[in-house]
Amino acid sequence: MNLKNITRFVPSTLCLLTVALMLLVSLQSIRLVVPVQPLYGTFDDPVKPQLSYTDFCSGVWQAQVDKYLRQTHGFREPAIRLYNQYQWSLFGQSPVPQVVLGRNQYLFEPYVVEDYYESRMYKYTNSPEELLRRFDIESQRLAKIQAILAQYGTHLFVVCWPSKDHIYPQYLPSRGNLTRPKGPTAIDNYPPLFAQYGIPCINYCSYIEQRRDSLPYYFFPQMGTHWSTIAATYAFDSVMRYMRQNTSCLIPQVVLGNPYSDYTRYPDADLSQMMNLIRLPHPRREQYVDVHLAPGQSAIPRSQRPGLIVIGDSFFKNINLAFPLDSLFRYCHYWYYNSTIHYDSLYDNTNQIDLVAQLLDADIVMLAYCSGQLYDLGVNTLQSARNFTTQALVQLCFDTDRIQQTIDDICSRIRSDQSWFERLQRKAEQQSRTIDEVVVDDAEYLLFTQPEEFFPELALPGIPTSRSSRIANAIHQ
Amino acid sequence: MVFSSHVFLIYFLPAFLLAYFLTPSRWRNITLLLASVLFYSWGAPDFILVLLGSTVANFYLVKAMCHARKLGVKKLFCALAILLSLGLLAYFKYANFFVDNLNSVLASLGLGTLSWTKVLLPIGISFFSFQSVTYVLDTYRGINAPMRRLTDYVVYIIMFPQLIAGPIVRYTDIADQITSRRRLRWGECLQGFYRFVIGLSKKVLVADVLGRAVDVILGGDIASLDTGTAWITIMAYTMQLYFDFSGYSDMAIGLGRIMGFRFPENFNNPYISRSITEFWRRWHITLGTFMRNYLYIPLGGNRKGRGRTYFNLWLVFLLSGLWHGASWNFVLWGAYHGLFLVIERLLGVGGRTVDFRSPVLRSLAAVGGTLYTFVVAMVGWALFRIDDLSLCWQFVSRLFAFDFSGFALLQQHQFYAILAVSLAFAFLAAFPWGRKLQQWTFYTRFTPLQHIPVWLVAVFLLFFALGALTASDFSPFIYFRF
Repeated sequence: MNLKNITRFVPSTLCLLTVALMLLVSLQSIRLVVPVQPLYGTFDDPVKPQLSYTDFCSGVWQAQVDKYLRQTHGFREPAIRLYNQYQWSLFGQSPVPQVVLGRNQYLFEPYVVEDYYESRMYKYTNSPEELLRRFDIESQRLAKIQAILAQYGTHLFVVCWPSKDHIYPQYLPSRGNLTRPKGPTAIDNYPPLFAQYGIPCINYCSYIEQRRDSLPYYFFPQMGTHWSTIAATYAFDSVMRYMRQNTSCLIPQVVLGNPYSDYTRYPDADLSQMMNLIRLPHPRREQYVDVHLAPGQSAIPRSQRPGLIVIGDSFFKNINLAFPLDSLFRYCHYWYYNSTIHYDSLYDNTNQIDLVAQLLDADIVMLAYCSGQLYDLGVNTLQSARNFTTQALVQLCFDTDRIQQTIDDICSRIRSDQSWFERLQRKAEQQSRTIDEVVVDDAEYLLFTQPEEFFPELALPGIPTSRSSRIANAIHQ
Repeated sequence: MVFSSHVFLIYFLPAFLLAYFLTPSRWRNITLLLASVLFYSWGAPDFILVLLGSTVANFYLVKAMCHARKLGVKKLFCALAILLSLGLLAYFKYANFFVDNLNSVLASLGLGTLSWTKVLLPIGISFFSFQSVTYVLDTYRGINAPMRRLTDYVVYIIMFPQLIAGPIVRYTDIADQITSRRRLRWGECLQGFYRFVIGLSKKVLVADVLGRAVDVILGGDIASLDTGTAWITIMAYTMQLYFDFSGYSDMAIGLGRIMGFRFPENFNNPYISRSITEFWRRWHITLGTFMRNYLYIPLGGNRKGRGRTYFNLWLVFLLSGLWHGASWNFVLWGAYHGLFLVIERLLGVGGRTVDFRSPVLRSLAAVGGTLYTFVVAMVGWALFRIDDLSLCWQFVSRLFAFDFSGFALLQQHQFYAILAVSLAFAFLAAFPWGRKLQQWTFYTRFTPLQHIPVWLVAVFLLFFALGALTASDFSPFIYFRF
């Protein structure tokens, strides 16, 4: 067979190959034929569309199918990586909205950039006075919780870590479209308020900012959003010193080894991984330090060690990676800001717990936020859109019966307001829930957003005198 | 279903191609018909019966027209068939518009308003109505014999590649291909595949990228836009519209070619035109052809004096505007273009280049003409894009406000790069080498060995476009749950 005969078959072969490749994509979407590397990051679970006659006729089902296919088709992962790489390599821009490219290939999260340029206020309100009032009310509520818990032997304090913008402002991208007038920032306003209301607070931001040029290690990795593991290690070492000095808790001593250089480890490159490229940008080597229990410290029985509850953002994750927390505390439960609980063998969500019992059982409660997340102090820790501060304060001060009675009263108010009730009926229909559930949800939201409106005792200055009977039960247990 | 959807690309197209290739030649129209019904039902299940019903009725009306011996009866059936097509278009597309405006007038006169349940618009009705009209009139004029088989006629009207957004294929252009197109030719199939991929890439890699930025700007506060941002936005929209629409036409032409059809071209480098008259010979060519053959010429064209010619021209463009959408901004857009056409005809410059002896002057005139056309078209697109007339006026006034403070389109490297690339491609054919390159890309019959690298590029582009579609809303959480 000569070349001419062979080439005759090229077009038909290519045509059939095209169809075969297209069918492979179809097949891969139904059943994984070619193994693909999963994408980095967490995604909303794709909802498999349920076919109904009305949805089909209105085109809703078809739109859902297309969205579902976009989220699940067989070659989604390599297809996304290829396009992301194109955006990154050709245009030098981040392919995902969660990552912003700064100077010298430093990566940032957008909220950090907004915080540095003092534009983060606009996420919450357009009024600086309104935001400052909110900071003040939150601080007062937290001060009351802190004072009540102190009466029962639980030490509550706040730690503020610096975000990446505070340490490396020289690598931030330019101000860009953040042209609105500057607003107040949480890190400038919360710590003075904590001091004013007597809440113990360790503010690392100003301390580290002063020393950032002389630090012998990178405080933040170039490709990550959280502080470096080494920075987290040194910082938490000093937090533990604070705990030993300001509580009577017996916390084993630790020894920090000498810093050493190593290839970037998870999660120090979380932002570059988040971009899901084919080829990750090459980061510099980072420094690490190992932490060990000091000789003889393991002998302290677990029952004598303190129970620690950490409420805060993901900066604590690096601490957990570096420290043998299980050997230092009786327990260390971490309440994350999406209502999940981590490092707790019993519960994985805050809606499963008895809040009062948990707070009183702990010896130390640490609220720890980076400067960029401090705006959301306690927000969403306890179920969606409900503040830790309001809910803890109400539950510590009032019995379940009274709280329930208040919720019932608000529900009646909602039901008697026609336009409000109709709005909720529409919402219930949209969310396929019962109207009762939606009404109770709204009532609880209202109560835990503005508790002072429904419990006048909370609006008075000083610590409320009323106490929930659950405190006695918790102590008794 | 649209061509740039996952359902189409991942399931519909491969399954259809496999079925089409495996079907014996004489049954291929049936395969195409079934696929087209499925395609249309997916996007507008409520209207498939309207589409099929009107198509069947039209087929038999035309059949009756052809069998009629008396001219009067012939005309009656012709009128009925046209009335059916245009009546459906009028009802589904313009009834809401008409009632809304009537109610506004009644309300302003202090009279009661009409109660009216909004009519939903069947997708593609503007296109298939016009195709039905070409069938009726081409048959009536004796240009072509009517279809013998109902299935062939239904295929002509609803074949999925051109059902939703054209090109508007005249019956006379495709009649033979429907009944007796040649057997599959693999080389043609490949060329069609390349054309489809080019169209998909134009839509996904260019138009959609520009569109996202345009939507953000026009969705914001138009009154506070600076002049620079306003011009870049309208330029981006100008390119978005061209690459989106011409990309869709490329996909339709490519799919048609895979199946053995030759659809007419719909675009011919419109932005290199040196007058608005020339622009309309290059933009949406099949609509222009339809309007000329089935509206302008029957109205008398330029045969009834200068005044009537200008009126006809302007009316045709007014109606073209209304065809694009039932809203006043489209009417104004049509009137705006019609006005420029009339002015150009009055000045005697429409479609002709002033012939200077000096090559420098000739080039300057060409550049000036192109620039004038481009600017007029861009300002016109503002009317096309912004349906709220007061907002549209605000936007146009920002274009000429000469306020250069607070530039809003910053740090968008991809947007600017794609805008630059799109401009380069839009004006490529203004240069001889550009025309050659375009000719090679679209019309070269590749040798079998040349097919291999071209196919590899096409497959890569297809996968890449799929990546762009998939990544369009890719937004992972960093530590939502860890």
